[in-house]
Amino acid sequence: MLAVGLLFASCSDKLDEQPDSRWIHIDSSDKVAKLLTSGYPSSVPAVICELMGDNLVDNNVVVPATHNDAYSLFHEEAYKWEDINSYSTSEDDTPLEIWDKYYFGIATANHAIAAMKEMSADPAHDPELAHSWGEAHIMRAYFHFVLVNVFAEAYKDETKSAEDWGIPYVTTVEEVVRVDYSKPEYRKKVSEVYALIEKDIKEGIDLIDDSKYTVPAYHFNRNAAYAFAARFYLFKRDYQNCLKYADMALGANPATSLRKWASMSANTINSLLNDYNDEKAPCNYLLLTTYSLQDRMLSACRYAINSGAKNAKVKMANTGEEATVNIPATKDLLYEGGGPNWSSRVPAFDGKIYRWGAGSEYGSWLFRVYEYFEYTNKIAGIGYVHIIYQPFTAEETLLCRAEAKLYLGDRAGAIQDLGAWTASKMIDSELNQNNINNKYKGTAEDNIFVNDMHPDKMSSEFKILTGDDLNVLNCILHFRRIETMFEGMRWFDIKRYGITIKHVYRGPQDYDAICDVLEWNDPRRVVQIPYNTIDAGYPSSDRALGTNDGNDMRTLGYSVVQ
Amino acid sequence: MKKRLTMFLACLFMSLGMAIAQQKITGTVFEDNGEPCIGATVMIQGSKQGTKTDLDGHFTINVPEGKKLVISYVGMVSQTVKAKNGMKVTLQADATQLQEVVAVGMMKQDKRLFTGASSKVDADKAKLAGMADVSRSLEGRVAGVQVTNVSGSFGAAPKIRVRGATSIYGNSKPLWVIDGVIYEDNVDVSADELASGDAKTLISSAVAGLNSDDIESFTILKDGSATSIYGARAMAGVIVITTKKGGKGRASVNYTGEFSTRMKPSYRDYNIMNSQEMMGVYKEMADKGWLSLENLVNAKNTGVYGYMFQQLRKYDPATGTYGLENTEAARNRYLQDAEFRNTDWFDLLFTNSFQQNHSVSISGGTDRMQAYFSMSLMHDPGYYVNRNKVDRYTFNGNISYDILKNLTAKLAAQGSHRNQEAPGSLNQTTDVVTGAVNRDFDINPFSFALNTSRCLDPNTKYTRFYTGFNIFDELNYNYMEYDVNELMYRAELEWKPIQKVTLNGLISTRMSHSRRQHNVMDKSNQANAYRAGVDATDDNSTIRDNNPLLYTDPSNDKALPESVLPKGGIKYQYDDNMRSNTYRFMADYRDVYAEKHTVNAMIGTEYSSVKRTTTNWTGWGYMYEMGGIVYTPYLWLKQGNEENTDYFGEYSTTTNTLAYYGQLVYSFDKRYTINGTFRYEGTNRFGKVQNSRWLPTWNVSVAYDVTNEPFMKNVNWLSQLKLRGSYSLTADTGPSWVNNAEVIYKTRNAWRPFTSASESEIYIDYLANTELTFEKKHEWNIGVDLSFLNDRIGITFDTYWRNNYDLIGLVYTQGAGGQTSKYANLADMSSHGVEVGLSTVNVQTPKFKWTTDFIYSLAKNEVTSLENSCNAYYLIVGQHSSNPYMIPTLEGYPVRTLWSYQFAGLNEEGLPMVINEKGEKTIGDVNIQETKNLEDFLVYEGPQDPTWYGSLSNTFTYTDKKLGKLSLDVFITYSGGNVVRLDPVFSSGYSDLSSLPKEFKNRWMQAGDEAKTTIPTIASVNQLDRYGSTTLSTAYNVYNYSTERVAKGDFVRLKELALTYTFPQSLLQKSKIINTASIKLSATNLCLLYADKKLNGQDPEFINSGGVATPISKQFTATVRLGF
Repeated sequence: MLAVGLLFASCSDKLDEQPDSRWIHIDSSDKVAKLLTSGYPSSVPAVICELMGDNLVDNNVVVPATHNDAYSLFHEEAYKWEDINSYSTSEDDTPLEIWDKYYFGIATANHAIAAMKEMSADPAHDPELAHSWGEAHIMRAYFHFVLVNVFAEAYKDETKSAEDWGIPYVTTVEEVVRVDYSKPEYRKKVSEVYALIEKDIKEGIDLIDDSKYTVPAYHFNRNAAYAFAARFYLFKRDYQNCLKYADMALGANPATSLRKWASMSANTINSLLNDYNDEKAPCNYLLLTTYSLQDRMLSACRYAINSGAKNAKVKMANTGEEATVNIPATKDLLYEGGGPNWSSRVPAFDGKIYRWGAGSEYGSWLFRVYEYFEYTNKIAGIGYVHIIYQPFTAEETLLCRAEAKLYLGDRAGAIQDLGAWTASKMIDSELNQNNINNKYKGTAEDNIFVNDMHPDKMSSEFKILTGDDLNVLNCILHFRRIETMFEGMRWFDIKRYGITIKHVYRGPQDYDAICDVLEWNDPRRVVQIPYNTIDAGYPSSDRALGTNDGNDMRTLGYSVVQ
Repeated sequence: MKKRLTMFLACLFMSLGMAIAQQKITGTVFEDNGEPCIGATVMIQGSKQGTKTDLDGHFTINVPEGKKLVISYVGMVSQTVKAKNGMKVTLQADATQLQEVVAVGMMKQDKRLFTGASSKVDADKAKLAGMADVSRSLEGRVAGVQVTNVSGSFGAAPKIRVRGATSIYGNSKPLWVIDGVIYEDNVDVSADELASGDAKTLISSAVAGLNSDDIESFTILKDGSATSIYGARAMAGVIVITTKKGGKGRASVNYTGEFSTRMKPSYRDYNIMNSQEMMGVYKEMADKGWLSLENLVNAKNTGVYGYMFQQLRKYDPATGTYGLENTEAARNRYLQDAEFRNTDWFDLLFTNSFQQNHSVSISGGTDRMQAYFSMSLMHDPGYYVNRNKVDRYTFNGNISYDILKNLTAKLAAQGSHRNQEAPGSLNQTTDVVTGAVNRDFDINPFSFALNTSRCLDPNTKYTRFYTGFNIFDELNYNYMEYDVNELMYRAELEWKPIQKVTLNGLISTRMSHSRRQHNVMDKSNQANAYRAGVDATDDNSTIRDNNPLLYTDPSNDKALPESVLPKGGIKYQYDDNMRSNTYRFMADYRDVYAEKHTVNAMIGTEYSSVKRTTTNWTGWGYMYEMGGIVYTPYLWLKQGNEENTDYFGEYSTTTNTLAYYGQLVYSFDKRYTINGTFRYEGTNRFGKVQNSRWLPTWNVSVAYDVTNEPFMKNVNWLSQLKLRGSYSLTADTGPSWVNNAEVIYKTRNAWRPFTSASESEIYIDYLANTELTFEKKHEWNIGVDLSFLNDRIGITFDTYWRNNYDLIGLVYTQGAGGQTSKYANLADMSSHGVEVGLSTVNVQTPKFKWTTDFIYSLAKNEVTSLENSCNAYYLIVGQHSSNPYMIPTLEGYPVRTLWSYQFAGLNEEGLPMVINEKGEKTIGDVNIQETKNLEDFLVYEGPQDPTWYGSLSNTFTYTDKKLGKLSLDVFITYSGGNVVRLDPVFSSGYSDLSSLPKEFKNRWMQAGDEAKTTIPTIASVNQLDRYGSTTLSTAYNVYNYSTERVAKGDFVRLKELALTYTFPQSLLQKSKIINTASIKLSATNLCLLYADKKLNGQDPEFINSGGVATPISKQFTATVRLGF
């Protein structure tokens, strides 16, 4: 009997046994590093931001018909700046995907941080863990940065942004089924979110150690972290810090790290793509492998970089009045309209722009969003569509630095950086104040290369540029637009400079073309929180027109070229 | 502490029992089976003095000289005998009484003290001739137990539900208990996966290794009062199997031989076009632009037309001729041949081969030792012409030996070996985009016969996956081989330190090893597909560029596609190992004191452990034709490296449980009984987290036996009236993939475009849920057992209400914690049901007897709380064998439902229209992924699971001492209340391989037909261009899932017709060897007596998923039984 009793007593240890051999316990620095690898999001907000921004025009048709599977109703909602709700939970590129994947990355970082705290009293100074401690904090900072820019108003200034709702800033691991993230310990105002991001950046940035990564380009390596810090401080308009980190990323001679367009093998679209996404290329600070259907969306031709329309007859969305508008030719803005020191197409893009069908009437796209297909079932031809995005590149950081220099009063330095950028795009002629002034003269009404921006209205602290400075700023914004097309970055520039844009759209069944204008402070600049999240109790964003500042947004600064 | 308490109680009760003794006569009362008769009444004739027998059947009583004793026991014929010290009395069973002992698994319980809802079925009665898997024989035998034969293949478990679903995402699979020990499944296959037709399903039946002749009886425990002793796994009911044991006395040898043959399926039963009708359709397809030469000559799959075009091009330089002359006459001749071909695929692919099953058992024993040993052999050459045999060998032995008078040792061993072949099958896969379910290279003969055009020549190779395909070759070259070995050992020691106390210790271990090899031989279509287009003998650049199975080096711009399998075939191997151990210790106390108070008390503790290990590897380039030498294509390894596919894998799962339990039964005068059970169980299912580890389950139940009331003594017409009631809490751990009490991390390779960037990563699979707990069930059960008119009529009635709560459901969270959807204990459902069993003896003369058993069950459930709504796709498709993560139901509806798009007629071009989510009539503009307001635009058709079912069995027996006994059984099962989806046969395009059902005859042919028919037209290439392929294929697909394509699931099946002849004793005595002999001729699954006409031959029970699934066949069996 005693023996039996002992037998059973020993059994209670067995209840601690791991039920599944595939489970892993995070108990070593190596495992922490591997855990962080899975935290990089498999989605970017490129599609919704491109649709909301001013890079794409509505072709009003879906052609050829065989491609209509790539067209989704939520594209139309994004283009109309409506609440984006018409998608299923399994669709790619949706607001839910952004929310889901970026918070998953944050959760991964938080779990890694919690595991490191278990393993060491002071992980930041533990030689085994410090680099992961740094990576985890930079990841957490960046993922919140993306979320706050998508789902909240742009940063204005300390006081004004303290009034704008941001997003939940999550630093703890979730251990129960449902947590209410609208509680004050999570949901923060925009300025608070920015402060917390800054805190995480400071905690992590010096600890990053590239030698610890197997494949640095798929992690926050030093350059990627510096590039992120530069962008963060640019958006926060802390130009001194922006310059500091951009300098750290770019080094003394940025030209050496810029993309070598001239030597790209142009045999096939696949070989171009492989060159572009080379993890060893010094310009590729960070690479993200995502599930994205942007290539298919563009080839469905409903929304494309296209030639716009002169004197289009439209109905104004707010008044219902008939009007005539000019729709800017976005292909001119992005690769065919020339620049300050080059005419017509950007030479680097020659032979690398693809079109559907015989002509270009439905738009065209650059090879870099071409998809990789991962088969799950070759026989049935089923699998995942991947696109690799580059959230941080040497080029984009260079443009950040130019902008910072401009605001710090170093216009010549800014032009020098811009010149390095044009040179890397295989443009031989020199960039100078003169050709900048020629290209970006006049107003937004008569020159599509000039932005209809309203920074003065966003914040009284905003330094307002005029004259040559303003022309250089327009040049920087134009270059940023070219550099980051298909990445959605233009949308964030539109937000942070209060740029007014207009969309003309017509559904396949609609009779009238509708023109809608997005003013600098239109509450529709905030992407609505995903419906699942709202259903689960998180407050929705107030995007109703006319509630912000008590004015109807669409009457403010309203102008149409007649 | 508990043990000490029991001892104290034991001593206390014993002293009470002994207080009467002075001058005594002692004796023992036995039942006719040799077991001691517990609680028999021993009365002094003509007085009111008496006593009752104890657990060993002993009694002690003071008897005045010359007085006789009247010994009685319910269910036994009373005896009046002279009192004599040391007397032994054997009571004979009153033949008409019901069974008296209930095997609840761990212990046997006196039926009169039993308060729960259970049903016992004798194996002899339940056995279905020619069904080697015993789990199938429960169909229709027990009220409340529903057995659905989703596949007829041997080894595939039927879907068994006791009182319907108990969980939304979980299995609701009942627990198998054999001789007191839980019998674990070899592999963890969920109830929904059973219908998948995947290779694993052939090892899903836990009991396929049991010889049905070894089984004495089944007892199905249905309500919580019976199952709660099994604790946290018994929520879905328990099936207790009691195996045969040796008896005292003369040894006997029994032989059973079964010889069965199956009938081939026939086109008569199905609604398939013949070749002439089919050619008519092809003609129309050709006219509509589908079957053009340029489309077909290099097509992936082609039949009659494609072959013709290939032959037109095939030039033989030796003879200077073409395979087919390119003249209209030659082409017409070719097409005419096809038109009159009428290939009978069923006849060619199936056989009526003979299945044999031989079983021999020897049993016997002495007073101290009893033993039983058996062996069986089953050989089934298979239902298909090729590679479909099953061989099964089993043995079973048990022995019981009384070492001392109060110490018994019992040893048992059981084992089986199975060797089985099946057509090669890959697993079903789900399209991540559309949700469509595919099975690549499916060669399931039944699916093939149903779906392949009868115009094809069975001896010709047509094209499948760009290369030659012939079903007979493929069945030969592409097959699976299963080896399943199982062994079980059990040792038990029973000690009675004092009379009323039994201590029992048990150790049991069981292991099973299942290996399945999928052989894709060198010449198979599946292997050749990997070289189509680049084969040295058949180079074709069009095919080369289209064949997705070829490999193109991503790092080389100019690379051409190459084969990853230039030579040889493929060998896939899967190993599933299971090992389970059980250790148990129990103390049992039983007493009757003051004649009227019966007390049974039991406490016990049990530890069990189950470990399952799954291993798989792929032998690429195995050259079957070259004696098995391996040609390792490095390109395949390179490709696997680049595409993140592993050629080898292994993982294991372990479940350990530790439980303490107790039961207390008190009965007053066998009239009023109260029973309480408690179990406290801990598991490692949730890992190291402690807060959800332990779970108490319990029940309280009462029974009132009216028949034992004094006032009922003179009521002769009523033989039994017993009322039962119980309330219980039982539980289950929920779906096996939800165990994230702590955060679950797993590892994988990150997807990267180049191998130079590859990295493995650890990812969060599930976030922690510290509130995770067991799924639970509260249940009320009220039952009545009634029999009257001398047991000529017996009725058992049970009704129950269940409240299932803390069920695992899918919920959407705010997502900022990292996961937007989670599985958690947030769903509830309720269910109720009624079970009626009625047995009557309609006619009883000395020679002729006619008995009827009627069983009716009603089981309804409703999901009362479920947060997430699933999407339209899962609601219309209804089945989800490929995706256990999505359940087709909504709050307020049964747990598995079927919905349809409202069909809105054909348009003026004959294309089908439905009402979409916006409420519009549309051709193909539907969002099948829609998740919102589903009730507004979808039509609720009904539940997928039957809500009522049962059986009617009639037995006619004629007995004559000289002529022997002849009996006829007619067994009919029925089921209904559910709906089934008709096979999805409509598509925006068909190939010249397809066979179509006859309803296509009524299809839309010309304008105006839309007023007359609801069968859509065959779309033209022109329509495809105009509407777009996605729109049009959605339109047809949605038509398949519209209100037009649903039928009722109700059916009445003539399950078995059996004629048994038992030889008369008088005749056998002359042989001097044979003691008993009988012959039984039976026909199983003869026909559906009733089914919805819309089904047109589709079996409402069978789910045709291809792979290894086979429909239940019509079968004829001769059974010979001999006893020596």
